[in-house]
Amino acid sequence: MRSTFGGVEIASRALQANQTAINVVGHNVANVNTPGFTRQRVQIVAADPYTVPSLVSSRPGQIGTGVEIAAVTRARDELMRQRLQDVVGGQGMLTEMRDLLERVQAVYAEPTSGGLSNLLTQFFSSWQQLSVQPENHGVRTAALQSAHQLTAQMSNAAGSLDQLQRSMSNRLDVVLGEVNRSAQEVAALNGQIRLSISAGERPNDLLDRRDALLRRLGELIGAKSHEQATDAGISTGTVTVTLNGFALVQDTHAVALPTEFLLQDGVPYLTANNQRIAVTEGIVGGVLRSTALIEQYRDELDAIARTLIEQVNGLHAAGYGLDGYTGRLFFAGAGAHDMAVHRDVNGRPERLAAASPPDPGQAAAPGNGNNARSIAGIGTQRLFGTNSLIDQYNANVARVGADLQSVTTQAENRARLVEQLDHLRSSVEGVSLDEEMTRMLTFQRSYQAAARLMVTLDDMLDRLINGLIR
Amino acid sequence: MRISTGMMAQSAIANVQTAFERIARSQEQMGTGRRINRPSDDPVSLQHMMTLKNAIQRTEQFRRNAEETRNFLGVTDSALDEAMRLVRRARTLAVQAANDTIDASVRANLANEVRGAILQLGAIGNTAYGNRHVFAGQRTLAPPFEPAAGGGFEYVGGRSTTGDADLIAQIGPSDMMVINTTGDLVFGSAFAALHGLRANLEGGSSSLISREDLPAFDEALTNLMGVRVQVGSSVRRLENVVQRYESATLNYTQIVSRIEDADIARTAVDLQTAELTYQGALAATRIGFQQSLLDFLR
Repeated sequence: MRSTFGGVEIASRALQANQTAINVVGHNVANVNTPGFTRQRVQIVAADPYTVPSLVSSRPGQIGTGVEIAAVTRARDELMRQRLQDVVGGQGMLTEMRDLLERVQAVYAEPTSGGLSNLLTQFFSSWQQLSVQPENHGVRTAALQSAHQLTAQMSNAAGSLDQLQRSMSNRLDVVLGEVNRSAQEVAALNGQIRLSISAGERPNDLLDRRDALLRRLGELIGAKSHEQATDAGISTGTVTVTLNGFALVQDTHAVALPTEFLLQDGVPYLTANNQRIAVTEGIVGGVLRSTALIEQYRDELDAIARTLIEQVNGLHAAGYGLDGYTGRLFFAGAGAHDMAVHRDVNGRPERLAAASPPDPGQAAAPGNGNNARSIAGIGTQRLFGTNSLIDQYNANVARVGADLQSVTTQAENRARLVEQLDHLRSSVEGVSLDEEMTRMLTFQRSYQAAARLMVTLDDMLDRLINGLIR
Repeated sequence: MRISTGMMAQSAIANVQTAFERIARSQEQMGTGRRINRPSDDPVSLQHMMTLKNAIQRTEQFRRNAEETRNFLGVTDSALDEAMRLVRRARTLAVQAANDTIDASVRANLANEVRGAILQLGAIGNTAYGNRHVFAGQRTLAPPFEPAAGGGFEYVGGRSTTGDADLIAQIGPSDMMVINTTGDLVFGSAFAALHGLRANLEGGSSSLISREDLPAFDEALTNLMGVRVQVGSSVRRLENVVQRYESATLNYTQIVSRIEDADIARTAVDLQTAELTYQGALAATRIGFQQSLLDFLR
């Protein structure tokens, strides 16, 4: 026998269910711009029908008992998420490298007249000029000036590269700090999510937050994640985060990474828990690879500066100045960073050793420009294999440009791929306002209908209770 | 494909950004007039271009060396011209003096004139281009002919025996040129002829003048002529070199500009296309967000 008030219960359930559904719509609309938010859906099911089937039933059959909300789930695209996780590490690395190498490229100031290619040529030209006018003070002063310009740009370039290196070690500290914080948060969320799931709930928003962190960890350091093995066939909901085989987060425990990097055969690695972790991806990977590249560029620049200093000084020390003295150095310093015009000749144009050694017993002659000509000749000597000093420098700059060009292309392609995958993911997971509005209208109408039902039932009961007995 | 609201916004931002980037790139090329503004724009062409620019600069320097040298030789040449005129004039004096019949007062006048010629030749020997004495070997800063006792001059410039005779100019990658002749070699015979004439005039031996001095003058003239011919051929060589370098520089510059310069017509078209795309992206954004279901709900 059915209860008199069964209908009221159905109406009440309908009101509740539709209200819940509208709240979910509200949640979706409210989070339309929240990064990492996955739209949620109510699973509406018909409630269990009244009476289980039996042989003695005298009813026409089962009678429905209304509606209920089975679950609120996330509209999730697991496949796209996995593919995204695989590619964001590379994107983080390439984007970081592009940004850093762009700053490196600017250091060289090529192709401008302020670049070393022009300044080196100008320097040797000024000695060439000196070789035909060794007595001329103006020409001597011009030679000193071009040397000043050259050393200024040389040490400026080296200093800028050094500064970039330093800023990158700061960047590494910051990024690894974020990695450690994110890993800890993932571990904490793992705990909350497991608790929630074991209580039979669906912690949708916690899961979203953890997913966003996992993606960020991918971008930062190329970490991958997978659902942890189930506990007796039931998923605990926790994830394990790994870094090239090293478990960064396991269950509710996160390993704090040190910010110190070590090098083996030029490959940087981290050590944690006595394990060696190679970092090849993510922003960290990008910073490390850029550091190695900049180190190489810096060495190349140093090689050029060193060769220039040695060659010019060697010849200059053997030559004679207008004042008749010899044995002076032209450049001071040991590399690009501390290269300068030597104090012996700085501001003393007459001391430039343009003259070759005189015959024994003779004084150096002012018209002798032979040594200046020899020094000018350094510019075209093949000091680097088949390359002259300037050719070598030009090749280095072209290499910097080629490295950046290739990284830029790769970064663009990778960004496009990530964008496409994000689109596909968003196509499933993203909130559409029009869609939510449609649902809102639907649930609103259903709610109104259920309310109408309640009023009708009330009327019926009123007639029954107050109308029959007068 | 289901389109979410966030996706729309993201695509709109990405599209506008891409279109704007294209405009910026075209605008940079247009503004600078250059296709290569940084190494990564075209590393291979950049290297080629830089090498060519270095070559242009080096060539320019050799051209400057050649021009400097040509000026130096120009000064040398006019000094030699002057010296030859002086020696020729002295020779006519010698011819006059070789005549036995001239009297002592005329002879004294002639001797006086010869003494003047010696001083003049000394001044010519001390000719300078700027502060460089052109006949002083490498000892360019001091006058090579110093007045000596007895009204003559002593040569104190550089000599090959002291290793400081030659001024060398490099006018090409492996093109060296000795640009001077030392004063002793240029004017030695002329001074000797003048001194001989003066001595014979003062000593009164006319017969020696025709026997010794006239041949000495001829020899001095031949010597000066020889030096002048050499200078002339050097100047011609330098002029050829300068001309060659000028056309080489022009060629190189044209190649550099072909590599480096933006094709203005094409860049202008690119810029216009980029602008159109940008406008399209903006319009698409506006239309995409113009209406939603919300507009129809009251």
